[in-house]
Amino acid sequence: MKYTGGVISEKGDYRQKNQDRATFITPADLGGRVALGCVFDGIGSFADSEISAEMMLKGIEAWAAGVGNLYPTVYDSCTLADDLFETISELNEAVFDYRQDNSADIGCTLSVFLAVDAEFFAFHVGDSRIYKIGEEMEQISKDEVAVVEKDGKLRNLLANYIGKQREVWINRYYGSIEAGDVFLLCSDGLYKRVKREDFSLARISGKSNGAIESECKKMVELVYERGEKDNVSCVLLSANAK
Amino acid sequence: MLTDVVIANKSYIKTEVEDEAMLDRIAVNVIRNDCPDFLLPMRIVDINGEPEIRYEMLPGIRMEYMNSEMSKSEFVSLLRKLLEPFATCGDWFLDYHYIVLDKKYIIVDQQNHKVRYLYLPIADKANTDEKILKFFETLIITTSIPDGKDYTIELMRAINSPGATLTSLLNIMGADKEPSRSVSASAPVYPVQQPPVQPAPAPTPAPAPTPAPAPAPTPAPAPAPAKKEEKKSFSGSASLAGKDNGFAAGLAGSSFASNLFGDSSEEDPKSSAKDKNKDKEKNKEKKGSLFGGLLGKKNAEDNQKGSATMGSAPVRPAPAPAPVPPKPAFNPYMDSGDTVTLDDDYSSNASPDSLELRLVNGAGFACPQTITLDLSKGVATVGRCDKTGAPQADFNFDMSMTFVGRRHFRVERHGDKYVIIDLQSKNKTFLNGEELIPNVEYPLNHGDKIGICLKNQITYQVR
Repeated sequence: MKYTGGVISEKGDYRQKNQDRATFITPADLGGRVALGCVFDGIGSFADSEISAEMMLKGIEAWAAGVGNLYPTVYDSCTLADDLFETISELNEAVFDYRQDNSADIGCTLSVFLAVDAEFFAFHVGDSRIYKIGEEMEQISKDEVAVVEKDGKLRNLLANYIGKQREVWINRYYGSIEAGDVFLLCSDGLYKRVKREDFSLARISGKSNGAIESECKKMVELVYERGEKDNVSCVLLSANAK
Repeated sequence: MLTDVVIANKSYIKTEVEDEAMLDRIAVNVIRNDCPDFLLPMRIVDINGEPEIRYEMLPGIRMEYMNSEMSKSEFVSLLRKLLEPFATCGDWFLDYHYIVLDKKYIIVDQQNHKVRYLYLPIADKANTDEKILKFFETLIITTSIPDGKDYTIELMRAINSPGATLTSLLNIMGADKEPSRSVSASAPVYPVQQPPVQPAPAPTPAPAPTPAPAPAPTPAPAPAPAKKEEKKSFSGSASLAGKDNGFAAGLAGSSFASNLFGDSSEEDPKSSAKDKNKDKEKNKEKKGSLFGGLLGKKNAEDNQKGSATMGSAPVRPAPAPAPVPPKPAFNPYMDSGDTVTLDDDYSSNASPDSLELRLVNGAGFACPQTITLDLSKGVATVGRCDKTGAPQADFNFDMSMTFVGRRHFRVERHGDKYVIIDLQSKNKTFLNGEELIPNVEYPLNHGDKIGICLKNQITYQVR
């Protein structure tokens, strides 16, 4: 299996700064057999959430640079996923410690998708989302939100996020991948404004990184046209036959 | 003397009880049946009719193996966790003087700094208040807080100020609510009606009966050279009921609570002169008490009641001799049958202040070929950078090598010998193929092979 993908993270016209971070990484030496997509959505109600998102991004990128090339000679896919899990846990500790030491209001959601040959390992905290786009948009991750009543209205509150506690509960998902599958990772700014019909598999599946990135850009422009005010992040990943 | 033993691959700390009469059976029963979460579980084992106290080691690392440099928030968290048991042990009818204050026998959870102490319920092993304060003073001095040097000074000022108590420290850390919680939880608290201070300077052995106490709150006592004034007392005015309340008086472990709020300087105005003489005798024992309070009260009252809990007299022993570093009960590689081939003269260029480990098996990882441990300070820790790239040990592997713990193992030099200690690493440390039991010292010799992580089997050889 060979993976291609694209990524975009936009501030939008309304927000002062982009508190989201997103990345798409394929270890070059492996010819795209391993791919990693991540979306970190900084919590808007915290003033400096981009710090936590940035810490997570840098940590995951460093992990990918150090470990990604060890597959399959040293690590098998499960070991690689376990290592990533430990890394996320430890990065959460670092964010938590930063928050404590600096009395900073920081925190972010996490959606990480690791594709290794014909398997995927997904890790999720909070309310950003991971989808598999087929005939329908199949949501892989589950939103960690609590519904509360406030002023007579039901509101969703984030129940879990990176930096909330020293030990974070990280949801893990595992599955198989077939050639032609397309996966989407996105922040809530995107999924609230899009439907399945907005995605054209023909323009994503089997396409190059550049083509998929421009598709990501189109999706972000679309949601802003539809009135989205939040930061928007989007990662699209295509599984292609060799 | 406390010693480490390994029984059935499990680590214990044991000590023999030389005189069974000195053993506080009540404390033993309390800990056995309802062990507080800040103590290591304990049980008494009879060996040939002689009792032996055995403590079960729980996950965590010995405090002496912890990094002496930490952030302010980490230090506050640790210090608070260290102090809280002193405030709450009264809830279990335990006396804080019997908590062992040796970093070797304080187990700390690395994740949340949860502390577990040893409680040594032997009468002549009690700590003095001065020793307890000294322990915390040393801890503050020896801990490096790069982002809180002013905080260290603030703590030192607090602990060295006249009338300093552990409560002062807790207050500085904003934990002043904790002690009061323990007081209300452990025993009823009554306001003390302080008798008017007798300004008479003459040291009369039998003071005249004090007048009836005024019901109104008494003003703060004026400074006077009387002995009573020398007592360190907590600024609060509440106290346990003392003799008037059987329950409270019998609360041996409530001493912290009582001491916190200072009861010993306030005498019961109804007590007779004879009683006061007795009290003076007691106060001699209590003078300079860390919390201005009830040190020795438990023993004294137990004796008066004929209780057979703790020896025969209020005990203020000489400081116990420094514990001898325990020797490991067995040397795992002696009988492992693992023969080590030395390929050259490993001692030729070895410095006594450094130890070199050479890579034998990197298991495909980009491991450094040699690890040179600087043992000029006597210890060196091997670990890795955390995921933000910050070094966590004296020698750090790359942050991407997640299977190496941030503080994986530690090497110590004892004279011309070396020992290796696994620091509760998740993926374990191995010596000549044998898994090390965490927190236990193992002799380390030239030619030994150190393995990191069972799965990846990265191996270094001691040069």
